[in-house]
Amino acid sequence: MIYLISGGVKSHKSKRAESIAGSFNGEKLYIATMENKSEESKKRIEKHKAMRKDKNFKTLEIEKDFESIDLSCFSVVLLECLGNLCANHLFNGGSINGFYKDIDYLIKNAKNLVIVTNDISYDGLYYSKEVQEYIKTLNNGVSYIAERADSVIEMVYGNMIIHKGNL
Amino acid sequence: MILIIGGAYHNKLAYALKTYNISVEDMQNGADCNIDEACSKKGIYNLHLLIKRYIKQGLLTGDNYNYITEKITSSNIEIIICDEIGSGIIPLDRFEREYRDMVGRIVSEVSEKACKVIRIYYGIPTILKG
Repeated sequence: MIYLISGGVKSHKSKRAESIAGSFNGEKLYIATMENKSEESKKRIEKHKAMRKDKNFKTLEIEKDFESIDLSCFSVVLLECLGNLCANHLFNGGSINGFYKDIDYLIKNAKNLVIVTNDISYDGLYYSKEVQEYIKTLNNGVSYIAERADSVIEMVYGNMIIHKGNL
Repeated sequence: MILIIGGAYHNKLAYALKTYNISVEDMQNGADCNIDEACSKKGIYNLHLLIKRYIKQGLLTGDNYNYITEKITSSNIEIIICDEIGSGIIPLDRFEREYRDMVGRIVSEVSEKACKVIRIYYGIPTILKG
């Protein structure tokens, strides 16, 4: 099963994703794509780690290029989040091609997959060319996953709108 | 008249082309078409950018926004695609504020007159009307 979860900031995307992933038996892998160097990131990471405590997740902090990860022993893989993965590819020595390669690798090799992304589609402002390219690349990537996903969920402050499939 | 809305880059155009079996040549692009020919084809996409161009050229002010709605509804246009741009922080820039307001007013009017309104979420449709 492939689950895609999107929504605004603090809409309980992660909580929902962890609860879905947590429903699978066996060892679970949590792929954290956020850069882990700044103070603010460290705080966020600690908060997320505390949330996952007792849920039997192995955490892997990796910014991109997933091909070397052996996913065969995990019952479910949770990616948090696609927005960071996309930024890491566009602005940190990767490529759009590489972004899709990582997505395809997870879709093909994870037994079950939960992908979290953030929704950045609705303010209508024109940012720089780079930012527009980022919004476009991320949303095309999300649409690509949505087409392949069994379940597409939008989170709205803790509430769920199911756009495709079911839980 | 069918209205298709959704966030930026949510694959609205691809959905319309596939669902209604039309080619992109049947659609005007509001981003760069001749303003006078905006409603001359079967459909238009990037309506929000057309509206932005209208405002920039001084053709739309707060009072005459229904001018563009009339232009659309009196034409033979069948499919209208527009980004939803009304969320987020209210922009400090006056033009950006006016732009958001105008798109909201116009699309709400078009929505009222449309026989069908579809919202696309990453390529997945939800029928809001019709």
